[in-house]
Amino acid sequence: MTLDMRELYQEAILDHNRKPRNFHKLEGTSRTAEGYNPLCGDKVKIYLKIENDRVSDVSFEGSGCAISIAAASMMTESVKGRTLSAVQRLFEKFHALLTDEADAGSELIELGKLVVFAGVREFPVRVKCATLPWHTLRAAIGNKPETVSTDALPLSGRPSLTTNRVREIENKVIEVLRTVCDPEIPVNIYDLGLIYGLAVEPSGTVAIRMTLTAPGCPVAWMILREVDRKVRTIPGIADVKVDLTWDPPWSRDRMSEVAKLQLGL
Amino acid sequence: MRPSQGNGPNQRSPRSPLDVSRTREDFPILKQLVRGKPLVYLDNAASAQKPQAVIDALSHFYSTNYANVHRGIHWLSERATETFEAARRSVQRFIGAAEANEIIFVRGTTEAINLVAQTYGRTHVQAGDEILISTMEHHSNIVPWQMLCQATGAVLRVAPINDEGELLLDEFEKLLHPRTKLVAIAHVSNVLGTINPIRKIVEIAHRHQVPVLVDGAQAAPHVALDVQALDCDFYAFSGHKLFGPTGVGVLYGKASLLEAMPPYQGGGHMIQSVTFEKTIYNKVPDRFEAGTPNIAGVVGLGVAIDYVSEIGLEAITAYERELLAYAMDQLSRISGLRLIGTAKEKAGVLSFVADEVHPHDLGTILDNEGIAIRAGHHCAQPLMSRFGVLATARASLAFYNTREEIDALTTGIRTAIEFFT
Repeated sequence: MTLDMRELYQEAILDHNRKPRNFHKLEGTSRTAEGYNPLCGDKVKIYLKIENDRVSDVSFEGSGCAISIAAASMMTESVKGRTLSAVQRLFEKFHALLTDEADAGSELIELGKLVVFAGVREFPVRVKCATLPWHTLRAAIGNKPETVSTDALPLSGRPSLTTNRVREIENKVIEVLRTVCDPEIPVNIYDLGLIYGLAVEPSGTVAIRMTLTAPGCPVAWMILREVDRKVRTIPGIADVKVDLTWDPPWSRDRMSEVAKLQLGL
Repeated sequence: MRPSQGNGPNQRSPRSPLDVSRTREDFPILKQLVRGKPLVYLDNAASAQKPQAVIDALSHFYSTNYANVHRGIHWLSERATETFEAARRSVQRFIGAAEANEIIFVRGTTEAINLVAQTYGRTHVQAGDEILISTMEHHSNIVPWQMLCQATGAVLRVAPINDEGELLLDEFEKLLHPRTKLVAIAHVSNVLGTINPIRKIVEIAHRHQVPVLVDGAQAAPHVALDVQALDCDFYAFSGHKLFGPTGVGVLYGKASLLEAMPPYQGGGHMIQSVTFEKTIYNKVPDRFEAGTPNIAGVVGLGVAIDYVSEIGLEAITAYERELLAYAMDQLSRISGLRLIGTAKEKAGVLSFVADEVHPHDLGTILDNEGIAIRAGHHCAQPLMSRFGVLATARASLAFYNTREEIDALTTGIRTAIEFFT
C-alpha cells in the first residue's frame, strides 16, 4: 500500500473500522438522530445521554465506509464526558482540520487522537464521510428529529447585516436560483418549487433548504454544487448552506404559474 | 496495410477479431498517467471515453460547417443541416429502424424516457391503469413512471428477478393485465450486466397488446441492435456511453406511435404555424425536437456510431464476452468477494461487494492505483435493496479494456482486502 493511502487510512482508522467502539443501541434514551449521505447510502444513528449539560453516554449504529465508521467510533470516545460547549468546540476544530487551507497548528493538541483524520483533507470527496457522524451528533444534541443530510457550519466574528441588506441579498439569491435549471425538466429550480426554505442570516450566511424532482442520482450533487457556487458569488455573503431534503416530496403543484406556462400545463 | 477480407476496400471486415492494442491507439485519454500510474478506465457504464475521430469531428464541425439547422436559407445552414440529418440516418442504420423519421434526438436516455412518459403516457394512461417495469431498472426508468402514475392515478408494477439477476419471465407475464398500458424495461442492467431477452419480452407483451419501451443505455455500446427484429415500440439510448459526446441521445419510436403522440416541449421548429389562437404542430420527428438541438453533439454521435460500426458490434461483443469471462473468473477467485449479477446472458458489467471493505474505500484504494471504478448505488436503489446491500463497487468494460487491466483490478482488490482485514 502506498504512502498516500497509509496517510488517509491511518492505523487507528483501520482499527476503529474493524472494531468500532460504542457500536450499539443505547437503552433508556430518546435522544437520537440519524444521518444519511444520499450520494453513497451511508447511514449512521447516534444515541445520546446528556446530564447537566454534559455528554454522559453516547453510542452509534450504522453502516458506511471505513472513514465514516472510524469517525463515528472515535467521536463517541472523544465526546464522552465533555460539556456540550466543549463538544461544539471540538466539532469546529475537527471540521477545520478536514477543510481549512491553513494548518491547524497548535489546535492539533486539542484534537487529540482525532488528528488521524488530517489525511482526509487531501481527498475532498471523502470529507463528508468523516463529518456526517458529527453533524448527526449535533442534531442529537439539538434534539432535531429530521435526518441530517449535508454539511452546515456556523460562522462567527462577522459584522451583522441590516434588515434592508438582508432583503436585498434575498432578492439576489432568488435571481441567481432562477438561473439554475433542473436537468430533468427545463425550468429553473425556483419556479419549479424546489426551494423549500431560504434565509439570509444577519451573519451573512445564506441557508437554503431544497429538494429535487427525483431522488438519488449523481446529478443531485451537481445541482447542489451549482446552487452553492452561484449563490456564493453574490457580494456580501459570508457562507452558503444548502440542505437537501426529501420531505415533503416535490410534486407538480409546487410549480409557479410561470413554470406551468413554460411546460404548457 | 491489412489485407482486405472481401468486404470492400479499406474496410475492416465485421468478422475480423478486434485488435485491442490498435483500438486503444484511437483513444488519447487512455495514454495518460493517473497518480503516476497508467489509467485503467473501468467506469464505462457511467460514461465511455471518446475516440480521436469524435474529438476531431467536433472541432472540424465547429471550424467548417457550423450554423443553426433547419432554419437558415444560407449555404452554411444547409451544410450544417445536411451533416445533422446524415447523423440521423447513421443512427437509423445502426439500430435498424425502418425510417429516419423514427429517430428523435434528445439529451440522453433520461430525456427519451421522460418524453414517452409525458407524451404517450399522458394520452394513454388513466387512473387505474398500470405501467410494468422490473426490479433491475435504473432510477431514470422508474421515476418518470412514478411521476406519470402520480399525475394520472395509474399504478406502477414491478416484475421480480432471481438471485442471479435474471428477470422471471413467468412472473413478468402474470403481471400483464388488460389495464397494463406500457412495459418499460432495461435491455442491459447497469448494475448486474444482465442482458434481458427483449425479443421474448416484446412477444409476451404484444400478446397482451401492451407496447414496450426499452432502456438501451447500457446495451447500445455492447450489443448489435435491430429494433425491427426486436419489434420493440420505443428504444432509448445515450450518446456519451456510446463513445459520443455528452448531452445527446436517441429515442426511437415506431412511426405509427410517434405520429399519434402529442408534442413534448413547445418552441421553435416543432411547429408548422403559430397564431395566438392556434398552433399547428410539425410532423415527426420535428414535433419532438423543439428549440435549437445539440447540433455538434448529434454530429459527434453520428461519427461515434460510424466508428463503432467500422469495428463492428459482432467483433466488439465477441471481444467483450471473452474479457468478461476472464474478469468473472479472476474476481470469483478472490475470497471474501461476492459478485452481484451472475446471469447467463451478461454484458461487461461487474458489481461486487467485499466482506471487509466498503465499496467507497475500495474505490479510493483502486483510484490510488490509477484504476477508475464506480462505487455507490448506481442510481438503482431498489435493486440494491433486492440484493440486501446499500452500495456496490462496479467495474464496467469497454472494447478498449485489456486482460492486463483486469489483472490490475484483481491485484488492487486483493491489496485493499488485505489492507482492511
